[in-house]
Amino acid sequence: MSDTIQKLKDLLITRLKLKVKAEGITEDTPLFGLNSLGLDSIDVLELIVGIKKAFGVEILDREVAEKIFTTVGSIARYIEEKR
Amino acid sequence: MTVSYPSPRTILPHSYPFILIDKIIEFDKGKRIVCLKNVTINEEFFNGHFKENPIMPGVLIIEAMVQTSGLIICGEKPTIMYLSRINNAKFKRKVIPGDQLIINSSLVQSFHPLYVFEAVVYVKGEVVSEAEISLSLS
Repeated sequence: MSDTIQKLKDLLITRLKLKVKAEGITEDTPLFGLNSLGLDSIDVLELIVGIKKAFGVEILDREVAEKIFTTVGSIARYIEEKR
Repeated sequence: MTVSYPSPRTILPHSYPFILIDKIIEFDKGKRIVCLKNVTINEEFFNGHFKENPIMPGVLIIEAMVQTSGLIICGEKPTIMYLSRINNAKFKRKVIPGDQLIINSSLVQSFHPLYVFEAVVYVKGEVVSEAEISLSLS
């Protein structure tokens, strides 16, 4: 799990060019809203493409996406489950 | 067997002088497409880019990729799409008058109204440019 989180953090920082350090992101860091990473809908789509390339996990359903794209941890758990 | 495809002009909302593809040469609707553009010395932009050294501007090569990608998701009639992101764009070779651009694009991911494509442009079988293009329908 911690390995997945680490890879996910790298993905967020490199692919979305977030101006935060990996240490600044925790499992519970929200993706949207107050004190979050401040992602938008285009970032989410980017992330879906990145997750497919890095982990081989596809996210095709909008409802699934809305559920898992809340925190870094929630995405990691989904990846672990589907791998 | 040769299949003929409709003219991009009838599908894209763009018009003169901003249509940057001449025709569709392969089309797998909703998945991938290959388009062609002949680059001639008569192109308006060669007047100034550059006067003694005509080179097709990279941004226009990107625009050709955008229009090509747009065709994949356009229906039968022109639909306005907006460019929402360009990632990892590379320009590897110069495009000069007389070149024939072969523009390939494939849909990698979609989450309506957003679509992500991978586009590669070739001249004489060599890659001149590539980019990941994101478009938004409305």
